[in-house]
Amino acid sequence: MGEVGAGPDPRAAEEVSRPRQRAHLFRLLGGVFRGGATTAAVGVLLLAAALVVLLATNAFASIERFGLGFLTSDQWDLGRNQFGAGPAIAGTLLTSALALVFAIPVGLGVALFSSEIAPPRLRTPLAYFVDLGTAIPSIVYGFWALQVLKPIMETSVQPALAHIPGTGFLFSGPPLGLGVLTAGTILGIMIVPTIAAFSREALRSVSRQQREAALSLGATRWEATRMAVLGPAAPGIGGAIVLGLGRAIGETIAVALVIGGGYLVPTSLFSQGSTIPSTLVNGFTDSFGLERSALYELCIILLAISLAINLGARLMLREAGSSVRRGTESTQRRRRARPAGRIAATSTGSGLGVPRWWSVLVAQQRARRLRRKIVYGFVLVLVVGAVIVAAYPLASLVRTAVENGGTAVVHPSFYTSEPPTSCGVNQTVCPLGGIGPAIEGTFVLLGAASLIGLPVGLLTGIFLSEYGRNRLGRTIELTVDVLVGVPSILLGVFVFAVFLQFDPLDARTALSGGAALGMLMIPIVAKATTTSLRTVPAAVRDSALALGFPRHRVTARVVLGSCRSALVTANLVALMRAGGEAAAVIVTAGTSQYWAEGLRTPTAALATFIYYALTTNASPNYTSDAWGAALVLLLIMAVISLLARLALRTDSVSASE
Amino acid sequence: MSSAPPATTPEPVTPKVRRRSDRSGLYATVGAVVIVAILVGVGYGTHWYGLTSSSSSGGCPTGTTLQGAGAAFPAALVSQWVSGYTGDTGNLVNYAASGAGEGITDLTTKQVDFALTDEGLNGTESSALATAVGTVLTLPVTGGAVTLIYNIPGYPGPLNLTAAQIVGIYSGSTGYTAWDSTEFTVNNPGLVSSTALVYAVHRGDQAGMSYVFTNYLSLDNTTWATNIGTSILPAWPIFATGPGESGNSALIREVAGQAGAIGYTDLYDAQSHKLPTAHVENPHDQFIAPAVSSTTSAVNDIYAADPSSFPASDGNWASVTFVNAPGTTDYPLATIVYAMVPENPGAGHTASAIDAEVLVQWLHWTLTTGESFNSTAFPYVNPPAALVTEALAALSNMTYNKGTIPTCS
Repeated sequence: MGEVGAGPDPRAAEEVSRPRQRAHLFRLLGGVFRGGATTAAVGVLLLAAALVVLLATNAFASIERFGLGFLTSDQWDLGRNQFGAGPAIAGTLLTSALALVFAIPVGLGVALFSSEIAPPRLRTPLAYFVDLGTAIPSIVYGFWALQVLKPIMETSVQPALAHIPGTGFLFSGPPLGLGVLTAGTILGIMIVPTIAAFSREALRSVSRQQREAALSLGATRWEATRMAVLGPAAPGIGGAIVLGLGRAIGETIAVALVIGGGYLVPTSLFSQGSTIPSTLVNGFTDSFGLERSALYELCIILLAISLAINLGARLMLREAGSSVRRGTESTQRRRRARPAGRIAATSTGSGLGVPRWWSVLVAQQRARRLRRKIVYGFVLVLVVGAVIVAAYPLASLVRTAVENGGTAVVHPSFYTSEPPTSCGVNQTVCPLGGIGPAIEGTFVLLGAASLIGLPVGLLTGIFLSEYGRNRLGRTIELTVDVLVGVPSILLGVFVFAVFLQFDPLDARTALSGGAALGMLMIPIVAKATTTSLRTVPAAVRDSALALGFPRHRVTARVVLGSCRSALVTANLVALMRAGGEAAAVIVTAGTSQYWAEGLRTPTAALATFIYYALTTNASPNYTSDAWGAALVLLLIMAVISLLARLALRTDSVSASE
Repeated sequence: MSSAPPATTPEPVTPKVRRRSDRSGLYATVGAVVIVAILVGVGYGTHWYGLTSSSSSGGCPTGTTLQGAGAAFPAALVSQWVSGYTGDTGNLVNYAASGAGEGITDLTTKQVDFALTDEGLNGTESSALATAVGTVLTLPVTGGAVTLIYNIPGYPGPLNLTAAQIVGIYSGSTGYTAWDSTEFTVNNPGLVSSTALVYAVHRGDQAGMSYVFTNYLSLDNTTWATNIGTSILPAWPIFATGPGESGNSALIREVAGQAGAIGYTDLYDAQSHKLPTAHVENPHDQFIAPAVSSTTSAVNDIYAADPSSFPASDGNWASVTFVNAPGTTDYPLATIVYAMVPENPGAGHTASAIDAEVLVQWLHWTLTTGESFNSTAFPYVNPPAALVTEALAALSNMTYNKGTIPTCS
């Protein structure tokens, strides 16, 4: 302290209190930061709860009126006010099952090819191709299905199937081209990339040593995969399949366009039918009163199915994560059907602690060389075939879009004109118009959605990874996981209902459309942020803390900074998903033929433009504009996918640092 | 106590861990915010149309956008109307042709300023509408023919259909499943050589045209009336053929693309897609082709038969129908399209006095200038002149928040 008799030295007091002041400031900022993140995360939880509550409340009138019979009744009679969910549920389950029948072998084949068999140089383009498959919007798939798949089904596939003896009940009825089979097929084509991507991750997460050990003993690639990889990867593959199923259940637009729309329980695979999402998107905006309440009840049923499937998928994937860690043990524990060969057992017996499959392998190697080669060749053909089957629809889709939309896309006026007015019946040259308002509308919606989705998603992700190691955090993480898989039509219906309740004049505007898309983006961004933040090694965080960084600055500058590109990728992916979304926008933002006049009017958008061309607007010139719009959408998705993939390469922190 | 001066505490230094790209996180955030702001800004203010904002300076308002929704039946004509109206007044009308049912629902939930419908509202709909927006005016603005389009390869037409045959087709009854069956060849001998099956395509959404179509079937066939009745979304008999298309465009596409298909749409769409239309039997057992002449006479004959049966503009038009007109050459599937608008738009979507003024201006325009837009290029018909006069008179009864709406031409 200072001289005797004098007061405390003011300079010393100041020098002592400055760090204390700073510490106070940091604590305040840290508190604010943490508070913000917690608010966002809890907000997401409340939003999910509100989703369930609002749908249930609106469905109450129908639940009260119809009771449990709603689930089995097959009526949808507006005149007599009788409604039932039977055909919708049956159609949903049937089309999803068909989709899995198609997508599981093809998706697994693609995953196997790209993780095991493909030459290394081919793996990245293949991965990009699979990404693109996931990115193509549902409306574009639906458009292609109507244009290309339906005629193929109608003229070739369905008659051929009908000729197979003994399958009368399955393939009876006129070959319309529309129906449950076509819907199941397009669904299958759409979920192949999802299954392929997640299965590939599951396969790649298995430790290489097992595989290499098997290969080094002379196993063919297939045998090495089968023995050492598929076992530990099985839960992950299971999770991938269930995720694909979840996506198929919630798929709205593509199915609505090709399923034929009759409200009946399908009696054969050629029947027309309905699914829950297709019934919703076709009937929601028309309905009111008891019918709308019945549609809300359908929403609840869809939500319940979707929740069950998503939870199942998450549990399987969690199990997959732990089983990979136990990988060695599980392959050891699995018993092979064949007894260990006497020849090899002596030299490399289990007495040395070597896995049993190794001894089996050595025995097989000497005995059945040719047969193994044949089997490998056969599997190779199957897997390459799967890749071709997966690639063909995508290639056809791109080609159709380019063929039909190519002429429109090259005119600059296409991007600056409004949609065409109607054309007289005998007029030979109709005004072509353009998609200017649709493009602008998409930007408006994405802008509004980003303002909600990006910050909330980011903060939620930060909360989950930094402050969420408690029960609240685990609950919120589960909620986010589940929200990712909720069908977008439900989010649209929810947002519309909220606006109708509190702000009816804005219910069919860009504001509600943006809110719906924002809700769509939140879980995607949150999940990706959480995942990226968790990959930052603890060492980076610890060293920053050790150097005296306050907690919030560690998170904001150091951790976020080191996975910048992963975050950028996540945002791009979320924007991409929202940009191609049609179902949620149809029930909220409506449509407009004019340039956007702010957020409080209905708005055009690329995806809804195409949808309205296919359903309501019958002018022939509108359809060619729609193909142009589809091509523009495809190009945007392709560019964003490429950017996202390139951005990931420049991530500044890798695991090895 | 030490005599040395107090040791100065060295100023605590916040360690600056400088990485080469330390500030890039900040730049990225700022950049992202800027981009998002641009996106929103582009949307919010741009008007490449040349109009800036609603204004009412002395003359008529310009730059306002009305929201409308409703039937797909008059969509092509409305598109021409909007183009003409905007040229004349500078106001815009955003009409979403997603179906009569949606138009009524939107009007009830206050999403739109007006709705166009070709169906009569049933009791539930009108009471819900009345509760939500008060008295509603039903103004006949245009009309036309609901046609039966078909696609029978190798058969040039004409296809003569009675009500019983149409009921048979849409019920999937035996004998009506193939075009060469005796049920059809009895008045269409050329069908004997056809090989196509019958696919009865219908609308799976709430469509005014479904209403008119089933109204005709109910009036002419008691079985249909008892079992299915008239509705914008009837409980179509479940049968294997015939998809329930959602939307007019989807229905037309299905009929055009499926051999043997039959469906229903408006005359404009049938002609612009070059699809043949059936000659439908009228009450005088004549097979009449859908055309502007036969439809105009149908509409006028119905009115002339009993003018007093028509309700006032603010009344209930549920029982009004223009089907089965009494004249010998009248087309039996005629319909009128009504504009439904609240008598007091302040209770509905119309958010401001200027909006109300423009709404009245638009309705006035459709009832006057709009009536001259029908032509061979746009084969619609005008409602009976007396009804148009009555509708114009009703416009002057509209109020905005209990005040008169200034007329603006």
